[in-house]
Amino acid sequence: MTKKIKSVYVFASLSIVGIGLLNLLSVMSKKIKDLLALNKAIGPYSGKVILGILIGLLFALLYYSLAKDNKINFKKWNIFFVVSLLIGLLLIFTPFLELFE
Amino acid sequence: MGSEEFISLLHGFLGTIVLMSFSGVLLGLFSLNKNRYNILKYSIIIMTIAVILIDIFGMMIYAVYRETNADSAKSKILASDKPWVHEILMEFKEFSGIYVAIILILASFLVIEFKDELFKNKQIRNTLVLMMTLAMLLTLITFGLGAYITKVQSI
Repeated sequence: MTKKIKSVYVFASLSIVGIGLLNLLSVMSKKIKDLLALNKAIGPYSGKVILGILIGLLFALLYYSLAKDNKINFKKWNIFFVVSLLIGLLLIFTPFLELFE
Repeated sequence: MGSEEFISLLHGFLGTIVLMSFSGVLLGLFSLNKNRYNILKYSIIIMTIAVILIDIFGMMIYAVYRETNADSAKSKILASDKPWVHEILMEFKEFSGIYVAIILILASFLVIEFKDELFKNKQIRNTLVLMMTLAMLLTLITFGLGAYITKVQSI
């Protein structure tokens, strides 16, 4: 059971960081920005969200298949999640992203 | 009423559902009563589904917002004396709503998986309080930004 919860933590944390990183990459490279435009109507936003979530899902499945079902240390996982969220929030904050333009 | 207006209306209405469900989550979480587990479970599931739907409808509205013609809300904001409303606020809002859905998916799994332990184990309860606090803080920021952007320029 704990393996499932840990995998959801991995999904949530890495999806958020993944979306943020794709946003950063699209700021750094026009080519990547164009590639991320999976849907014409909403532009690169579509690719950032879909691929970011797929990154999280992929790592969660990988973690689920490799991890052991031992006791969960909530403190450790919560820190991992909150740090990921903070990184994710920083990577969608335009004044920070302008440093990489 | 056009389809865009209807979708905007649904987008706002679901926001109300999120806030109402949140009160159910609070009741279930802080009453420490096992009999209220179902209120907690269904409230958090409804809240998560509502946020996911808000995000989907939000994307549909975003398509109208960012149309390339000069009459679109994005073009008007960028041409105004407040381009930062799009460049900073809208860019942030686009993703913060998605983050809320992701946090709520995690919180829903916690509630469903730890059914029995939830009312006994303080660590799990505190984790859920943390997730709900983060989700609500981001929700309020996203709602606030949405209201401000609409006030500056509606679609």
